[in-house]
Amino acid sequence: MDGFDRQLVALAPRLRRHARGLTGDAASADDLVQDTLERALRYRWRFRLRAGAWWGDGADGLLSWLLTMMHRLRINAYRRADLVTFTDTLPDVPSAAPEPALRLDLVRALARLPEAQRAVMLLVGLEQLTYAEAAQVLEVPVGTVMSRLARAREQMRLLMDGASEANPQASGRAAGLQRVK
Amino acid sequence: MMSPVNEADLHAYADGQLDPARRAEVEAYLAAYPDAGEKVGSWRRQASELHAAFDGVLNEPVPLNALPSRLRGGAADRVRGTAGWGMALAASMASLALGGAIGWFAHGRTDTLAARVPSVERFAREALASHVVYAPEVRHPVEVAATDEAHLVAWLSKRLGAPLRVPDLRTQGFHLIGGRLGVAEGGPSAILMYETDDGTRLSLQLRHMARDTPDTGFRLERMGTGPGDRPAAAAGTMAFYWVDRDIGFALAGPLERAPLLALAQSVYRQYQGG
Repeated sequence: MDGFDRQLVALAPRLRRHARGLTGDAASADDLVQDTLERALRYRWRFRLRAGAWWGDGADGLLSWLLTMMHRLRINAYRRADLVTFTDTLPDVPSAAPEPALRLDLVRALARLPEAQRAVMLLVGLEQLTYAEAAQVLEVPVGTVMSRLARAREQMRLLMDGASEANPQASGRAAGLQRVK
Repeated sequence: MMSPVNEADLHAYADGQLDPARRAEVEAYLAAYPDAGEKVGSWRRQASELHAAFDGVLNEPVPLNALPSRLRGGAADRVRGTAGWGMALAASMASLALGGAIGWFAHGRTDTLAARVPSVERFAREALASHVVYAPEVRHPVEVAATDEAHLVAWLSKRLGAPLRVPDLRTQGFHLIGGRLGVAEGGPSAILMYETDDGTRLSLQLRHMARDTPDTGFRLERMGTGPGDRPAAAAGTMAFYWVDRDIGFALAGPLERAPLLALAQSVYRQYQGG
């Protein structure tokens, strides 16, 4: 084990937390972490080449690099799974319509989000990345991160607080809000 | 002339990602539109519930099947030292500081961890609360002034039961104004207060944690958003907290995430260096 290996082991708990949130399942989360770390070992030279230069703030950026690989693995899994879509972003499949009277706990509400939105929720809410950092990890523009975040939070609010569907839009208009597209 | 507040501003406000000027504008907007404030509050609740739901994973032993075989060697070495863990890796509790810091290992008895993590979080909340109480004090923010630093260090070290070091944050523009004794759950805490030339105050609080409290990475705690009844000083106050070798640290102040994290890393490094 060299220094890089030890850093990977040290980050394993962080990767497991993120993967757990993403997959909602302990066993698939650990498989995903293992795949991610295997790729990290295989492509370590790429990290070395870009180390320190990533966000220009002297941060080492290893966690973000690992999260990027984890998300690429998820995208590949999706591609294999349905063989139809071929996009650079995760399919934004609408989840089942929420039963209005039903309040869900956070974990179940999170599981109902499309994966692309769930990823943003986790990166911003849990990993506390800035929007720019989350955009780097997901390899999408910042605007996409913002719109996914807005949709994810609104959807979570509907699922968890049982807010009525019409209400948020109405209040948004009343307050003169420009909705994020 | 203030540009209209849009929904992206509200999200950035909820996530502590606005600069102070824009934050003030958004706060004015929220005061005028309670509906928007309610929305921001619910987003913040979502984030804290995310932590409640998933932070436990950080403290679980990392199972070997989450690691490629190359990384299991060192894991097995550590497991040998910890009887009764079977295949589990004596997980490094260290979650790395966001965006930075070198990995460090914390070996700990994770089986007792679950009970202790909340006490770390309670410490962080108390630290935030005492910052809000003491920081606005004009005449008596501290009990012992920085001019008497030797006495301050000796006194607080004695009460804390651990040698206290005063981190130097002058390169970041914060100079020490002094310290006071605080009360943390289950024992005394030391509070060091720093100030910039323009009067922004930062407090570093330290307490002795229970023995064998696992080390943590930097975590962020924000002042809860009450319905307008909290003191003005509470607005925008957040704290980074961490545990290092049985000492709990919490650095609180009305700063944005990035500068506060940089300060926390500086404190951490200075404690490592000595």
